[in-house]
Amino acid sequence: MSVLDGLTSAWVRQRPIALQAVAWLLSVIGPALLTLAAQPLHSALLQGGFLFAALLLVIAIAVVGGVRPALTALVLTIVARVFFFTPPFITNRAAIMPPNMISVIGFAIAGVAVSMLIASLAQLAAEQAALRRVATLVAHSAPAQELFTAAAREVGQLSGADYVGLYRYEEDELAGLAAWSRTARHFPAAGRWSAVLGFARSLTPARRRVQKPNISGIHQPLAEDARAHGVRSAASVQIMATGRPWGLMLAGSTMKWAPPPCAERCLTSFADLLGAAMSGAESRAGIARLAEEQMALRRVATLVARGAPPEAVFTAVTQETGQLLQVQITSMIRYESDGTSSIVASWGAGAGASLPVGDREPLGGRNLVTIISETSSPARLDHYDGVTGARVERLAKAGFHAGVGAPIMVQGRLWGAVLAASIDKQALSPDAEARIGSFTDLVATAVSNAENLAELTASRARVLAAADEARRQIERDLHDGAQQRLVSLTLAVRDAEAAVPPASGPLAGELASVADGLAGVLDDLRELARGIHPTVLSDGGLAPALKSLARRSIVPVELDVPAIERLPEPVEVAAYYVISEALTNAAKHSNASLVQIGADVAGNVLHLHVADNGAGGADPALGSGLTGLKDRVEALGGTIAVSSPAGAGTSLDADLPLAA
Amino acid sequence: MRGAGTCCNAGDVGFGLLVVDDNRSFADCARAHLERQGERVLGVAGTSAEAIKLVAELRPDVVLVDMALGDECGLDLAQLLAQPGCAEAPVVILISAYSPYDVAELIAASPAAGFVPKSELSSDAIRQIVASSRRAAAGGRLAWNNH
Repeated sequence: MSVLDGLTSAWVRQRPIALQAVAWLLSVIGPALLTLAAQPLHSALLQGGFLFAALLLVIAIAVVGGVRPALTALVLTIVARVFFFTPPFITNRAAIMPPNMISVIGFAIAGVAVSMLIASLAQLAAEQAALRRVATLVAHSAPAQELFTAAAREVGQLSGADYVGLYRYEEDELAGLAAWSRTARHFPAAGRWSAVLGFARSLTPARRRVQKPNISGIHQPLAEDARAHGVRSAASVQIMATGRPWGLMLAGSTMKWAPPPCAERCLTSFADLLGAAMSGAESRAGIARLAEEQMALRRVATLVARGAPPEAVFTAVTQETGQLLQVQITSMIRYESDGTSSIVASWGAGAGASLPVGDREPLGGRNLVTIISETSSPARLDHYDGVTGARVERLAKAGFHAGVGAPIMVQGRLWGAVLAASIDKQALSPDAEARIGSFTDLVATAVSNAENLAELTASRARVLAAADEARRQIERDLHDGAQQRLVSLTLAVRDAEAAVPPASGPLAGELASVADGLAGVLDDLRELARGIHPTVLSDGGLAPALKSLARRSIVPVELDVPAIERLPEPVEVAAYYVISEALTNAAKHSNASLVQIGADVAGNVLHLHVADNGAGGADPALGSGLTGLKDRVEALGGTIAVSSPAGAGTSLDADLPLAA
Repeated sequence: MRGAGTCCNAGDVGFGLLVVDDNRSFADCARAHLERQGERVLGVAGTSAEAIKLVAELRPDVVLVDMALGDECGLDLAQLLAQPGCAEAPVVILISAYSPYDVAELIAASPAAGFVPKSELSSDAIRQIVASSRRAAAGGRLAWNNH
């Protein structure tokens, strides 16, 4: 710190009024008392003592009141010394000491140097203390407003300015954050000034020095406002956060004021401190935003992993992206094969234009849906001027300004898109597409999973249907082939038996036993065929087939089956096997004395109900027999549930949709 | 050819029979078997349409209908032929290679007079069913008259 710096520091730093008063009082009274006290003394030694005492006085005043009263005391002491210790006031000629002027000059130089040194040290200490106070606020993550207010106050008190204001760049505006004023009359800080475009960004870091000293160097509109409030000179410094201009600190004076170097230092130190604090805050906010996004992604990913219906995933994605991007409306559309797009999910924050799910619109025109369909890439419209298309025009009319969207690619083909629209044209961050994109990947997985599942279910149903058809064919071949021939043979043998003359010995008997044997083979074959496929089912349908099951059941059955029309064959077969397996289980494990069977068609669903009064406690995971049934029922898009509390019997309920 | 209504002191002259079965070898076998037992098999039909035509032409007393008529359903044909309450209608008897155990519900739901497993096809079995059918028809008429 230069001597000059110290000198000007002394000029600007504000000290408490009482201390100032004491210092000024001392600076007048001190030299007077010293001179009076030294008047009777004439020895050179005592005069040296006087100068030493005067120096101590100056130092004391410098500590208490700064440079100005100290220098005042110094000057007064020298004047008094020269005046009172030279004729005509001094009659004692012997007391005049010719070499005296040298010590007086030495005294003056020492006094000035010491008082300035002390004052500048005190200024520096005060600055450091102020910086530490504000840094402590930063370290304690004090509310931003508190930090800004404190910084403005400290700068004001240290720099000698009448007014200090803190502003933040918000796009093309300057927003007031905090202000400090020496007088009660506040220069408005809590306002907005439209900044001169490009000003903030035109300031390179090298130029972010304090702007000197007339206020036309700062933002023109702000300067005019300041002038109107009596500010005649000002200095400003840019606050840089994460390498970009973040805001502005302005110190102004009601006088023509040349900000001293210490004021510049003060402004830049505090600007640096605030910049660092804001960088930290921004990176913290960035981390928080990232964490928020990760959580939202995880919620959606969990839905996908749980195999939630695609509709649930769609709704969740529109909601999560809407909240993350802080937009007012989001939607998900699907590109249909007929050249339209349909809304599959939408979300809106509060009131506003709504996008109804199911709404269809042909592609074409200037809108995001069409752009994405052409490019299969993310797209944005920074303004809705000149957009065409019913949906986007509706949004534009409702006050929406901008939109962004990203495609949903399922296994390499364009499936749909997620779109967001904002009322505030500044709200769409540059990375909005990327943030939507991380969700569209999840949507693609969900869609792909659902499609795979549907294909798997369909193929399972096809496999089962093919197997059933094969069994039916085998049964039929047995019936039409071997069984018929056996029947014919039996009749022929019986004819032969009848034709045997009575006197032919054992021949008739042998033929009869052959016929009986054939009948036995036929019975075995029928048994086999019944196991392969029940003919009563294919010929008569579910109702007679269930009656047949009930008749053959070991456990008595109470059957409640109203007249059921013929149903699709896969449904009849599945229903037959479900009831058949349930009856077999009841007979084997339940020890029941009665099984109730109900089958009814309501709407488009066949509902089956089997309940026994047995021991219950059956394996809820369904035995291996029932696992096959579960496959069968689910392949048809149906559901099956078994309830078997110990001691309360076992009941089974299955719903089979009639049309897949 | 004899009229349907003027039958048949059982035993003397056999019934006029029509066999409806898509399985030709069995139909021939059945024909031989029944004729051997003294019945008159007037004809054999392989399809429903043929059966309806022959019933109109030959006016059999009894029609033996195979339950599994190839791609057609013998039960439907039986339904068609056994017009209840019509005196001129032939007695319809279902036959099948299945055991009655397997198709009991289908037989019960059919208006046919009875069922004979193919392996047990015989003149006696047919006559028994015809007799009980006639008794039932008479009872039905009586009941109707009482009404």
